[in-house]
Formats: sequence, C-alpha cells, structure tokens
Amino acid sequence: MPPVPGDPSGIRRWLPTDESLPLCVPVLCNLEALNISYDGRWHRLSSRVLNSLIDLMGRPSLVDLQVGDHIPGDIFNLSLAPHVKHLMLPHLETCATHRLVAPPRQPTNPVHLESLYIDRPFIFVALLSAPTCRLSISSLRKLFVRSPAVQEHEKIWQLLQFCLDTLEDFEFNPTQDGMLSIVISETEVDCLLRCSRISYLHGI
Amino acid sequence: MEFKELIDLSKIVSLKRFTVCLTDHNELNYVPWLTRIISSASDNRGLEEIHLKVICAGDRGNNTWWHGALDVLWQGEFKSLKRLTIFLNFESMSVPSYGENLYNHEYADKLRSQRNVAIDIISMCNPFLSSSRPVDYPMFNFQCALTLFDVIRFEQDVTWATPNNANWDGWMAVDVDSFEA
Repeated sequence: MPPVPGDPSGIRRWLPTDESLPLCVPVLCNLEALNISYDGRWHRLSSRVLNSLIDLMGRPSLVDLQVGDHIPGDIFNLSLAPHVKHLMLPHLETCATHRLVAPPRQPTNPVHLESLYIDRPFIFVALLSAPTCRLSISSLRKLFVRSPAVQEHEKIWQLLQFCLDTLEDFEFNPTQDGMLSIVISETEVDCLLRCSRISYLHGI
Repeated sequence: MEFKELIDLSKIVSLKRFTVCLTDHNELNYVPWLTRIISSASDNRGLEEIHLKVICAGDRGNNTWWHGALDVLWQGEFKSLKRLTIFLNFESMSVPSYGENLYNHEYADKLRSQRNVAIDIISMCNPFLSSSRPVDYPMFNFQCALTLFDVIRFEQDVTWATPNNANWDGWMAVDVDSFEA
C-alpha cells in the first residue's frame, strides 16, 4: 500500500479520510463509553471526521471517555461531554490544531470527574489552570498518574491539592525512566494556555 | 537532585488506598524520595491499603536498593492499615537475601499477627520456572512465605512491569494460579 502523501511516517491511516464514521455517529444516541485510539496527528483529520469525533466526545450520555493517543488540548477542552465521570487521557497534546474559527456556541458547563488517568501531569495542570477550562477534579475519588520526569512531580502535588478531601485511591507510577531529568519546556505549557484561551474550533 | 514538592499523603484526608511503583534506576536519589512519600502515608489516619509494586528488583547488582522502602512499611505506624500488598517480579522471589528481608522479618510478622494486617505477596511470574537461578532458591523463599503471609498469588500482568525483557523467561511459563497459605 503506497504511503499517504504528506504523512511523514509513510503509514496509511484510514481514519483521516474515513467516510463511514460520520454516517454512524447519528445513530449512537445513548453512547456511554468511548475509546478513541488514533496514533496520527489530529490536524490531518478531515473536517467531517474531526467533527464526528468532537460530536461523539460531546454526547450528553457519555460517562466514560478514553483518548489513547495525542489529542490536542483545545479540541479536548471544547468537545468534552458534560457528564463524563471517568477519564483516561494519557497523551494530551499542547499543540493547537491551527484550524480555529469561532464556533456557534462555546460550552462552558463544568465537567466533574470521579476518576482520572493521566500520563503527563504538567500538561494537565496547565489545562486545569487555563481560564476556559471546563474540567473539575475537586470531587475526584481516584487518580492514576504516570510520570516520566522528576520535574513533573511538583505538578502531581499541585493536582492533589484540588482533591485532598475526596481522593480515596491514588496510584503513582514513576515509570522505569521516572528519574530521568527531562527538561520540560515552558513553551509547551505556554502554548497550551494560549490555545485554551483561543478555544475556537473549525466547523463545530 | 532536588524535589521541590514532596507528595504528602498525610494531607489527603480521604485517602484509603495508595499504590506506588518502585524501580531501581538511579536508586541513590529516587528510591529515598519515594520512601519519603511512603513514610508520609504512615501519618494518614484513614489509609487502609498500600500496594507496593517492585520492578526489576533482581536485575541489578545492588539487590537491596528497595529495602529502605520496605523498612518504612514494616516500621511505620499505619494505624488504619488493613492490607499490604507487595508485587514482585520473579527475580525477587528467587534470591535468598530477599527472602530474609521479606519473609522472615520480625516487623512483617508483627504487622500480620499483632495488628491484623493482611499481607499479600504477588509474584508476576512463576518462581519455580526460573532458569536463571538455582531452583532451590525460589523453593526456599516460597516455603518461608507460606508460613508468614496470608495470600500468595501468581499473576501475569503486563500493565506495569516490563514485558519486553527477553531474559524474563518466567513470562512465558506461568501456570500457577493461586495459593492460599
């Protein structure tokens, strides 16, 4: 199978140009759990596919959401369904989609999580700190954190400050490389904050 | 190495269960720091369960790098603790020095018998089938464990351990499900 033009990995992924997903989305009326596993770049998704995923992630019936690969923070923040309780977000991205226009309406309702799984706490703390962030972990009961960098541990403690009175189950996995002194780029955090403030997505 | 903020578990008043993974890389700096976190748990008034996952306990030259964390568990107050679970890879079950620390430790016995704390040892592989160690080592430790601990269970869970180490022959040979001592 020939490589996809413009895809530096040379891997042909079916999702970016898929035509079936947009047809399926309308019939998933009572969707309660969603797991998106897509290892390509989100800005390569066609508008129809991107809007389909945003639509699914925003379903009012959704309680359990897992996005296994690199989702841009701005898309995540805008599309998150209001009643999600359990969130697995191991690879939140700081980058923007660069396809931003004003949406017809911008969701503002807070999303109160009960359980959270994250892989990069410094990005998540930045997301929580953004003025337009809809996520709340003030009633969190379970937190699982994998952290590949020592410098991120300060952020873990910051996360815990939000839920000192409610957290019942805390799992901390520094990973095998947890003690590496990885320098976290402040520009990444700044980028995420900037994107969250813009908070407009194309074609919603 | 400086850690700016210690994760202070004593301040999480609602905490009932704490799970932490210990790895042996850069042991001089990192394990003591994790040990301090575990120590802070001993001041928590409501903590009921601690799960300690020890990864690669037998893969390095210094086989006692994680014993400091274990000593904190043995000697801490942990007033509300009801269950302590220690996950080990098969190497940890197959060296006598580990057995001396784990299975014959007076603190472990005190936790179990006097304070009624259930202690589980969960091995990620079948220690009997390790070909990299003399077979009597795991047998020795397993017999000791049977006398001291409530549950010994063999599991194969790749979600936290290292599955891609070709030397871990035990990964390929798990056939023991569960033991009740």
